[in-house]
Amino acid sequence: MWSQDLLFSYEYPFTNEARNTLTSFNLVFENVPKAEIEETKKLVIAIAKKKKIDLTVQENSGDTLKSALVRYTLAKIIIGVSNSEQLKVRFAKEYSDFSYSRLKSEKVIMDLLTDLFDVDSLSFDEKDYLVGIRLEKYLKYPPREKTLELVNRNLKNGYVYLTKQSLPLFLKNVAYWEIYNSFDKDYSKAPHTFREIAKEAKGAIYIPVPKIFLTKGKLTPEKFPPCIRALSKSIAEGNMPGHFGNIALTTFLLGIGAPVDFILETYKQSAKFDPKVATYQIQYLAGKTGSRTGSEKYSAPSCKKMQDWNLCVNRDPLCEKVSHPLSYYSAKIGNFKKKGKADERKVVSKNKV
Amino acid sequence: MNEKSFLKTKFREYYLKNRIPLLPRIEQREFGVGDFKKKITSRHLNFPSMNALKDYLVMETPLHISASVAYYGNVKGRTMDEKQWVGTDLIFEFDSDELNPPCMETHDSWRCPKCKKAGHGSVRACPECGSKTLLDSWVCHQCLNAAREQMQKLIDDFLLSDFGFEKKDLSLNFSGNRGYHIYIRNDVVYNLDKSAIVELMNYVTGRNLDPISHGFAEPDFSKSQKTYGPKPTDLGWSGRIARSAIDYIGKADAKSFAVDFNISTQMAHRILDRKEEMVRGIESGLWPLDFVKTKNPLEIWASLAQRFAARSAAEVDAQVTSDVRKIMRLPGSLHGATGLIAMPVKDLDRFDPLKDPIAFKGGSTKINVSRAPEFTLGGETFGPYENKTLELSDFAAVYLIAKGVAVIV
Ligand code: SF4
Ligand SMILES: [Zn+2]
Ligand SMILES: [Zn+2]
Repeated sequence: MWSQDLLFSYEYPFTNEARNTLTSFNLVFENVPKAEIEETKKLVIAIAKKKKIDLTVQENSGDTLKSALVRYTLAKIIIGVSNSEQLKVRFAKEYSDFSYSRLKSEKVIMDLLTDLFDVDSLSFDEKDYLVGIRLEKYLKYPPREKTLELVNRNLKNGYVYLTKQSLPLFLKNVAYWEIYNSFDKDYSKAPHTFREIAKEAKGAIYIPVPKIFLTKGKLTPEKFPPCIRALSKSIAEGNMPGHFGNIALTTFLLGIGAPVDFILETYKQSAKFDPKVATYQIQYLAGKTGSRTGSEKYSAPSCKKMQDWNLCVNRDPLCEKVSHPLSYYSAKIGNFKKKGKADERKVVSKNKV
Repeated sequence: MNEKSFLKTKFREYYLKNRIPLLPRIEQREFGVGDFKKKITSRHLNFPSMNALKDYLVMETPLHISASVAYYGNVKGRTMDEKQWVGTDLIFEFDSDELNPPCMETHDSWRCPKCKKAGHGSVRACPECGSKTLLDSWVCHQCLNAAREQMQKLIDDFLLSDFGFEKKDLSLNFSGNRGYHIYIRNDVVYNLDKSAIVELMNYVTGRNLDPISHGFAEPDFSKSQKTYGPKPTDLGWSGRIARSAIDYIGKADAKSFAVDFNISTQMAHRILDRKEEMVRGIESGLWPLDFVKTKNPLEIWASLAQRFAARSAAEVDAQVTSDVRKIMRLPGSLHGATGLIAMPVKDLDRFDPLKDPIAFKGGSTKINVSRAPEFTLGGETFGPYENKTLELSDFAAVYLIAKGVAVIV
């Protein structure tokens, strides 16, 4: 037999309820069955390889739900041991997506809210809104979608109001950050087996390389325009580019189709890398590029902008022919078919000014 | 005596006799100081107590002193990493020159270092040769009032009503020159992280407004020329968008309307004849779209709303609060470019920024003024001066010397 509490803990393993359930298992690592560890290993490797993952159990029973929760816990320790940013991000995403997919009834939503927030942080008194969350609590979870940005929520007296549509999205975001932040622990006492698996998982991490990067199957960052090369060089030397440098580099990489993971990897070379801030900023900018309002603000800056920002450095002859770092790149990797006309036009319009 | 040591002597006198208001958590802040005509010459200073700060002001007497908005775990660290950011105040800055008030045309002037052309107003690039100009900027009650009004709007509309901050958490401070600073200090703000500060900034500036999130429905022109949208009574930005649209329609003339919606003036006239009907529609949450000729009419409404409703907010220097390493003029210190006190403002309505912050009452000094427009200070009107030698009250002499337009004779 399984209880509602166990089901809830399995579906929302980041809650206090789940933590209590887990404590009640009296888990001792030495006693965890080998098969369970094997399953966990499969899960972690699948996450590393970015395979499609199904976290649903075959059928709900006390045992299956319990092992699912144990797997979550073990996987989290292994990933914590690995200290890999990619694994943390992907793990948090997998599990928060799963919880979100389970989030159907209003009752569960309310249960989650009361599990995660104390009563003083909630307000139910504005009509047309499901619930209000205290501003400072809301801000603990950087928005990962447009509609959760503070500017797209309605506020009153220090409460951020959520509707029927936005509340589940908010809870998904909470789940993501709760899981992500829970890696912030000391893993030095983790058992040896876990270290082995962590090492293997780290080696298995798959970083998709965007097509546009490839010329004859190879990465060609040497074809980046001088300004962008200067930024990545300074990262490789251990610095973090400033505010504008970050925007320029990130939007450029997003502009050529680089996935968030790849960009994170670029930034990780820097000693000053702060994963929480960087992840947020990149996801934030990724959300902005291609968004329909205010999209201009965060699409990759033109050469003119780069000059204003003092980021246009080491200009070379090709620079004279382009007005945008992205066109520099596409000219360099030989997008000549499209490029011919477009660049002519740009040169003409440049002369006009 | 040269001008710099004159100012230093005066400032020292002031710091000897006056108290700097308590700066919370002083031991966790970084300080920066500046010199004659240079706002910041060195950073990374720190003071364990208010007394230590006072001693420094009396002994060293920098002409500018600023304190970090951020608090550091290890304030002695040289790099930002070593310093370990642990928390922050939230600050907003209102500078009159950002608001482009009309009075700037009368009291400000510019000159081109290259071709020597000169003129009135605040012109940043020489219209003759395109070089960066040298600006000579001044303030008057009119532009300082503009800054005050914007600040009041931000306080009422955003800080108190939406964010729910309490009046007691806000400290207002005159900048000592052109405007005001608002500091918000409480445990909530202290514990915000950097991403949260970006969110708050975007909220007050209306950046990234998404029409759909604010209740607009995707229009379906096959069914209707109207679409659902926010109502003026809605909370937060939704209501702000609706109210500003109604306000905009009420005030719009055919010409500007035609430009904003990219339609002919003739058509704009026809549409504006239906003003009342449009306003009634928006009040009931049904927005007119029939004349909007872009593929996304919602964007037009949203960007208009942002333009009008956020006018106050948009002019808050967005960099200021989201730049967590920013240092701001120390409240209670003297401003090295005016000699005025960057003083805390208790009663904004009664505060006179050209009178109350005067530090040097009594005494007079003989100076030569190279050039100054007519200006008001300490309840008196001075100037205009052009290469004039005269004896002025100390506060006015200090003002002109600090501004770099007068020398001691
Ligand atoms: S001209 Fe454009 S592409 Fe070349 S370095 Fe400058 S900003 Fe980059
Ligand atoms: Zn000139
Ligand atoms: Zn003025």
